[in-house]
Amino acid sequence: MKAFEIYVIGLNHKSASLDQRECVAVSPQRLSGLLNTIQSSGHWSEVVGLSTCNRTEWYVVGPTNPELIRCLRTLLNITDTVELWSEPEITYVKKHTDAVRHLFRVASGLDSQVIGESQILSQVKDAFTVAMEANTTGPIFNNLFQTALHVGKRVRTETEIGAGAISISSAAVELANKIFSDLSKRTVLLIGAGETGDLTAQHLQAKEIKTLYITNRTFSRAEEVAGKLGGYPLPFESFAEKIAEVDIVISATNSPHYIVDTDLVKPLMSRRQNRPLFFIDIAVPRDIDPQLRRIDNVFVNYIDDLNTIVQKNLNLRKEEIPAANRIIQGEIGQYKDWLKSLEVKPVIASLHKKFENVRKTEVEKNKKYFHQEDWEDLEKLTTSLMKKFLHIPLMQLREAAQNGNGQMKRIEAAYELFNLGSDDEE
Amino acid sequence: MIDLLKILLPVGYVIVTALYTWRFFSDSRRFGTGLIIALVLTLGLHIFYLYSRITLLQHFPTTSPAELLSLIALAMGIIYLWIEFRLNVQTTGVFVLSVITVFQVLSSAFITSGRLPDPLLSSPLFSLHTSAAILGYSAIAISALYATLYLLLFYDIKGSKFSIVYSRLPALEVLDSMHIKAATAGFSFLTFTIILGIVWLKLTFDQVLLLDWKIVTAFITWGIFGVVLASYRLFRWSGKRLAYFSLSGFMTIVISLTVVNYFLTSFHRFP
Repeated sequence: MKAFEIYVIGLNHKSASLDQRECVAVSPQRLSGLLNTIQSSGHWSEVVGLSTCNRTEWYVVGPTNPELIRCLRTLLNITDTVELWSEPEITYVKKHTDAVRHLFRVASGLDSQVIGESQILSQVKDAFTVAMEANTTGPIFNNLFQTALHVGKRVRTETEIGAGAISISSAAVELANKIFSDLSKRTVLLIGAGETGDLTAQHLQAKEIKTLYITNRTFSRAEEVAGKLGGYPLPFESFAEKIAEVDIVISATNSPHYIVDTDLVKPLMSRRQNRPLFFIDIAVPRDIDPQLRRIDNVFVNYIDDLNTIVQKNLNLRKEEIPAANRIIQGEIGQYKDWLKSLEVKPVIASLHKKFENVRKTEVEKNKKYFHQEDWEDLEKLTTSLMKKFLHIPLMQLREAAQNGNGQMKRIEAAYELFNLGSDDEE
Repeated sequence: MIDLLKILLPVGYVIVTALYTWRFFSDSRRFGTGLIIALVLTLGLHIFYLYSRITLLQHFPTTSPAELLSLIALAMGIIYLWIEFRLNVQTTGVFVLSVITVFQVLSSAFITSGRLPDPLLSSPLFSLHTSAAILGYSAIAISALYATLYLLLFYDIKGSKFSIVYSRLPALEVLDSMHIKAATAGFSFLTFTIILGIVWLKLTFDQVLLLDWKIVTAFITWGIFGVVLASYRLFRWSGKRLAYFSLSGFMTIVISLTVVNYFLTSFHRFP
């Protein structure tokens, strides 16, 4: 009987610094070779490596032997030319259920720096694909990683762990979407082509907005950003007139005073036929006069408002962690059931083989006492008897695998009673 | 049987409202189809209840405020179901269904076992008039609800509160659009109701009693919604101003249904 264990050894953003993570990060080009190196060490039947900017983890399947983990640490130190893998403060090792839970948490985004981020799910998928292509996965990891991907999707679908904007620029887009349902029909004006404004405009462009105008005190910078984002540059002196046409204004200048006030906007509203106008002011000091909020159908939100949205969304995500954990716990239970059934399968196969051998030997020995025309019936009779004798022990083993009640005891009893180990040796 | 349905129906609406309330606060799409099934089943029960009353009374049950409330609840439920299918937004359901539940609870509490059929009520013109009125008032009630939701979200964003209203309701533009669509439907049905009513009056009594209080309030409601829609089309009024106007129109209907029916004498009561 061979007992196996699932292990994960790794380090992540919680246990290691960026410098340390950099040292052990594995490029996609190198990953396949490393998987084969670990597997060819002879200890591990299955290996998967997951390396992202926040973590490097090795998932392995092998015999239950803590010494082997020490060997793996040494091997990783050699391949990465570091000593980090031997440091227990930086690295973590989890086995069996804890390793399974860890992978499910990683795939669900619960172990990520930003809870619920979705990129990790595709990174887990990529890691599994690379290992499959390198032939370092087997039945255990094929099932485990497919289950992990399923868990990741379930958690995101059935909870709000990935909901809501969690960056200033995406919060601005979320807010715009609460005023205008379809951003593809909207025209946007970006005042001040700095980094934050540029990023917000990029997020809006991702929603395929109709037109994007960019204005900047230095016109060449406006032209540069317009070229990059596929918008139209606008001289800074003429942006005020453009407000009459656009639906969303993003302001991010370094101006020490307001550049848009009520005197400017109020007359424009009748020209706009009172259509809603949304100002996103991400500048400090502010560019947009707060008095604008008094004008009907003019919405003004500042960087603090966007921060509030981000914080609320992050809190909402945290509140979803218990629900996500419940899903993970349920899936761990199912996976463990599957693993148990896997442990029983070789015993059942051995029992079948043992009884079949006895039956064949006895039939061969005794068929001379029967007429040749009865031999077929003899085969049928003995096979039927064998199945009947085996029915109850096999049923008990399958039941133990399903319920987990005394499973190992029953497996061990079966090995001893029927001397199954010696059969393998034969 | 009908007495049992009278109790089962509000209970059904209470359950559906509770489910939609859970949907609003949890924002989980897990049981989305289950919610629609629960609503459809309750509306089916309501239709069966209406059919039972028609069979029992031998006329369309529109002779008392309690009967009208039940019919308005049913019409609102059907209109809401249509909106939910069109918008694929379930988070506004709790608001509409709360009103429907209140209407049905009041109806079940005050409805009487039945009246003798009035010969006046057998006219097809009268049935058309009341059907149009029920659809019109239901559409106006829905429009008022969407106007309320618009204002809630409007002030939530303006005041930078970003409460649960912000995270659960659809965009202001969607709420404004649904408000105007429902108001347009309500105004059209109300116009139809008034025209049919006048024609029916002329044919039945050979005179037009325009000074009936309910007719007066219907005209006021019709006028308010006329102003709402004209302002929207001609003067491009903002969603906020339109929402306030719609709500005042809805309040006029509420006054019409309560004050006029319980405190003033009117031919609209059928002895």
